[in-house]
Amino acid sequence: MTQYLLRRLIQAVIVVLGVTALAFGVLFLTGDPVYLLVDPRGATQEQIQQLRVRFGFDQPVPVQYVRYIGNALRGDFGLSLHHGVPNWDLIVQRLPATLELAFAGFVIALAVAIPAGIVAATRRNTWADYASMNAALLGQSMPVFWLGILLILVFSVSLGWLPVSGRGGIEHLILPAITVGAFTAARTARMVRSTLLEVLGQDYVRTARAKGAGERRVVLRHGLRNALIPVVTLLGIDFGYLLGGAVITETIFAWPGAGRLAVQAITNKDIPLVQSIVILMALLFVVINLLVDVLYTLLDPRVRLA
Amino acid sequence: MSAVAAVASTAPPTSAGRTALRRIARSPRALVGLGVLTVVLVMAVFAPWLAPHDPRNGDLLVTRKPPAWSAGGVATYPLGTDSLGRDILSRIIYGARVSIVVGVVAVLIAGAVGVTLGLLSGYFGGIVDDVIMRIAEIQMAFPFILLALLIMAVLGQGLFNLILVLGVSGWVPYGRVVRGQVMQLREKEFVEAARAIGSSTGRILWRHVLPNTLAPIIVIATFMVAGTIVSEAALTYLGLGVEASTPTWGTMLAEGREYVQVAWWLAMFPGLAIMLTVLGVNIVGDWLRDVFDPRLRV
Repeated sequence: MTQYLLRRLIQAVIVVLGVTALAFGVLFLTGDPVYLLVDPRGATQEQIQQLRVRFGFDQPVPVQYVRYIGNALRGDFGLSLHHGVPNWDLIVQRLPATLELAFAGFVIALAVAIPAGIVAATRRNTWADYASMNAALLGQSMPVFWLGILLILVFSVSLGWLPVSGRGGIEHLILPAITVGAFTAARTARMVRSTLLEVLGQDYVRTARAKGAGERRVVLRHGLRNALIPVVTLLGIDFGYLLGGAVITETIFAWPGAGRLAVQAITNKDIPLVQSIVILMALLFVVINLLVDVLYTLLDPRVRLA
Repeated sequence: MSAVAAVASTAPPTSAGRTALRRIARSPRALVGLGVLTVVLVMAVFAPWLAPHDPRNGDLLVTRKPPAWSAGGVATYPLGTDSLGRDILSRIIYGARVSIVVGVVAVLIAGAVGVTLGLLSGYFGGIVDDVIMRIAEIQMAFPFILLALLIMAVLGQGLFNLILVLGVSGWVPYGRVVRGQVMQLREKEFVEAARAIGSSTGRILWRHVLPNTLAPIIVIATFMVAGTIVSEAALTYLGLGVEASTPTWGTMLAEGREYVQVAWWLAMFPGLAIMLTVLGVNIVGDWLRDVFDPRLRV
């Protein structure tokens, strides 16, 4: 198991290096990255050259990359062009709001998806199955941004129950969390249904039934536990989508998180800040998936022993 | 990604075309999906003839009129007007063009890149396979929208850049599935026979291997069209997609969000258009998967 986790850790490091290389390399898509930082019309050649030296763009690209990684490892992600303070500070300040939103969305998604998936699988081809699976299909086809606006229309504008935007108490969290979790809920429900159906057809489930185990025990102990294994893998990936979806949701609900910061940074042409957010979010994503893998080994002894 | 998992083991088509036609008549669900898609396609192709008003220039005397059936609505603007007096219906009809063009072209690019890399990866194996699959892993380990945000921020907004970003970043599902299929196929007798009579590698891949991987490719492509349409709208909503002057469902939604408290119809109808289109594509995708792989049918 140690060996397996070690292998995954090395893979994760490679992925992070790849992501930073991508995020770093993007700067050079336009040729000279200095022009992403300064408007050539408003600066003299000397000023541009000074900037080039200050940001290290006069060095060979591999040298720049190694330096960038070195600084990043020390938590130095450079200064924001727009705010004039370290990017790291800006992001760390906003990250709790994003994590709060993503986590709340995740909890809502699971609370809806797992029961819905179980009901659909155990009452296959009944109205309960059709209703939950059609709702799931609808949820998967519903764009995040539209769902958010619809929720605002219904619960804030028409009914006046919940606030339109901002962060504060639990009442501020409800609509954005539903918005961000809906897709995951829909997809997980479909996944739970299909894997549970598959598992319930296995020999060991028949054995459990033959031994006289109650239906509840068969479904939950023998069925669900095994059906959740592939679901857990996808959940790690889904958490990443929640972080990504948070970018849009935060914009809709004016939620002061890292995603909204990224969108604002793009509007301000603050490329170094965008770059830092992307790298830190990717890092977070990789770490979460690593944790999911650990969880996976706990759930499935076959992985542990392999 | 769920499409990938679901079709990963799809068998090669036998008489898929005929089976598909026969089955479509029997599946009301698929008919609904295809019906929705046909409407969207017709809107996109015949927009200038179908749209009752100019989608770009509004009439400032009729700003933010509600839909015709509600109080204060105007009969000539069935779905109402926006804050510049532009007809919502006409803008939705024209918006279908961007969604369809971006959806289809980006998916074709992604398919071409993914299928090529998948064929190479699966057929040659070894170091080629290792490198391609590591790149795929890196790309998968990354919420796509972040990458798209960064690239669009650097390149600047515009239809061309948007299609490029969505196209290049979408190759992974094709690559992985094609690779898996090719690894099985390359050991088959007919491939060996082709090699024995001296066919070139290119010919073997193109004539013998590729046609046998088409079924899953078509299924993935369908689901990807849905995903791409949503991504396009999302990026445009964030102000990073198509230029704001072009009527698109994403820009309409962004404007609708601003006026959500006073004019619900601004966001309602473009959102409905996106959702119905995506739903239509997803239904057709589900159905195609069932047709191509009866084992997955539940």
